[in-house]
Amino acid sequence: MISAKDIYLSYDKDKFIIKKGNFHIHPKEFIFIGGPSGSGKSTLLKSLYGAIKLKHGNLTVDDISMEKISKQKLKMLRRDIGIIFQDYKLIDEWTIEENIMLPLKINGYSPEVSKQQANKLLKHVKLSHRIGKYPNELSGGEQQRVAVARALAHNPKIILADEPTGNLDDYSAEVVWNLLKGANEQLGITVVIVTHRVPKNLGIKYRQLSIGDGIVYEVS
Amino acid sequence: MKYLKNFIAFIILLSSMLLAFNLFMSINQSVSNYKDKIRDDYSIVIITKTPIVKDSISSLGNIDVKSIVTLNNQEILAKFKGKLSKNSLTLLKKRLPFFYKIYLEEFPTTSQLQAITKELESMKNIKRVESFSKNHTRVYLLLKLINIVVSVLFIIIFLFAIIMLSKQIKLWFYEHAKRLSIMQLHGASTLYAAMPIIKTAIWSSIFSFFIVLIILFLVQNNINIFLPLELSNVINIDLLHTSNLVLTFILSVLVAILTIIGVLIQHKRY
Repeated sequence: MISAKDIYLSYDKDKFIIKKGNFHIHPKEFIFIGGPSGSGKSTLLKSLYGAIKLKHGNLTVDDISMEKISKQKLKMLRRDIGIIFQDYKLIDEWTIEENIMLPLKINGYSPEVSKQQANKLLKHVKLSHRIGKYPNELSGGEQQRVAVARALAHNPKIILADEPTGNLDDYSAEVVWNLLKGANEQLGITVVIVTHRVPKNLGIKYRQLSIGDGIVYEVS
Repeated sequence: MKYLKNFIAFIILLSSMLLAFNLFMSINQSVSNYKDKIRDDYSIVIITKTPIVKDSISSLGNIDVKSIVTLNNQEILAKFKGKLSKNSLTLLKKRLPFFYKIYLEEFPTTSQLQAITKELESMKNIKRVESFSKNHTRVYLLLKLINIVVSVLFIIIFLFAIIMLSKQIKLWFYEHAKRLSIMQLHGASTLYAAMPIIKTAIWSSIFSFFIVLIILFLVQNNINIFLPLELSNVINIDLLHTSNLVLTFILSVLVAILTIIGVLIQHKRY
C-alpha cells in the first residue's frame, strides 16, 4: 500500500528532515508515526499526500509513484485518501454537513447521495443534533469529529491523520480514536496517524514507526 | 459580512471603470459623428497652371489631406460650345487651368483654414485658392476639449481601477486561500476549487454592467441636466449605443476573468 525506499525530504536545499527513510505499510494496517516535536513526522505524512516533494528515493502510495507525480494523478490519489489535521481544516463558511459532503462532491456523487451520506456520518459521529451549524459554532472536539466524518465520507483506501487529538480533551480524543479504530476494523481502511503520544489501551493491533535524527525506524 | 463588503467594493470599482469606459466611447463617438456631419461644411478649391502630382500635398496646416479630386472642366467648355469655333474651343481647352478640390482628414478651424490658404498660395504652381467654411469652430473646439478631458479622465480612472483591482485580487486571495487549499487537498481540480471565486466574479461583472446600464439610461433620459440645450441640439450623445454597450459588457467580463486568473496565479505562487 505505502512503500518508502531511501527517501529524503527537505524544505531547504541542504537540510534534510528525513534522511534515507525506509518503511512499508500494508493494506488495512493501523500505523502510528511517532517522534519528538520537530522530528519530521508531519513532513513525512505530507509526502504521503503529495504536499511536499521527494528530494531523493522512491515512494509509492496506493501503487502510485510519488516521484514526478503529475497533477492529474495527484488529484486522483487524493480522492482515495481521507486527511485529518490537528487544526481540523474545515471550511468556515460552509455548514458542517456541507463540509462532510466535500469529498463526496469532488468524487462525483450527486448532491442527494452526498447529503444522505453526510447525515449518516453526522449520526455516526454523534453530531446529528448539530446539523446546519457552522464550524465556528462547534467546540474543538466536535469540529474534529466533523473532520473525521469528512475523512470517512467517501470510503477512502487510506486515512492520514496529523495529530488528530492534539488539541482535544480526553473525552473528545477517545471519541476520535474510536472512530478511527472503527474505520480500520469495520471498513478495512489503512490508517496512518502522526502523534507524539500513542494512546494507551487502544484495543487494536497496530504498528509504530518513529523518527529520530531524520531516520525512520520501527518501534518493536 | 466581510464577503459582502468585498463583493460591493469590487462592484463599485468595476462599475466606475465601466462607466468611464462607456463615457469615453460615447463622447468619442459623438465628436466623431459631429466631425462627419461638418466635414463637408468647408471647401478648398485650387486652380493650377499645370496638373499637380496629388501625392505631393500630403498635409496642410498640420491636417492630413484625405484626397485631392480633379474638377471636371468639361462643363465650362460646354457653355461655349456653339458660340466658339472648333479651333477656338481646342485652344481654350489647352489654355484652361486645372481645378482641384482638396478634402482634409479633419474639419479645419477658421484659423487653420486661413493658414492652409496661405500655405497653398505660397506654392508656385497654384494660381488661385478659394476657401470657404461655415463657422463651427467654437462647438468643434469645445467638443475637442471635452474629448480630451474625458480621455484623460478615462486613463486616470482606468489606472486607478487597475491598482484597486490588484488590491482586490489580494483580498480575494486571502478570502479564498484556505478554502482553495482544503479543496485541493481533497483532490479537487483547480476549476472546481475556484468555482466560488468564478461565480462571485461573474455575478459582479453582471451586476456592475446592469448598474452602469441603469446609470446610463437615467443620464440619457435627463441629458439636458448635464448638457446645455444648445449643445445637445448640436451634437447627439448616445450613451446607450448598442456596440458601446456590448464592448462595455465584454470589458466587464474580461476584468472579472483577469481577476480570477490573478487570484489563481497568486494561489499557485503561495
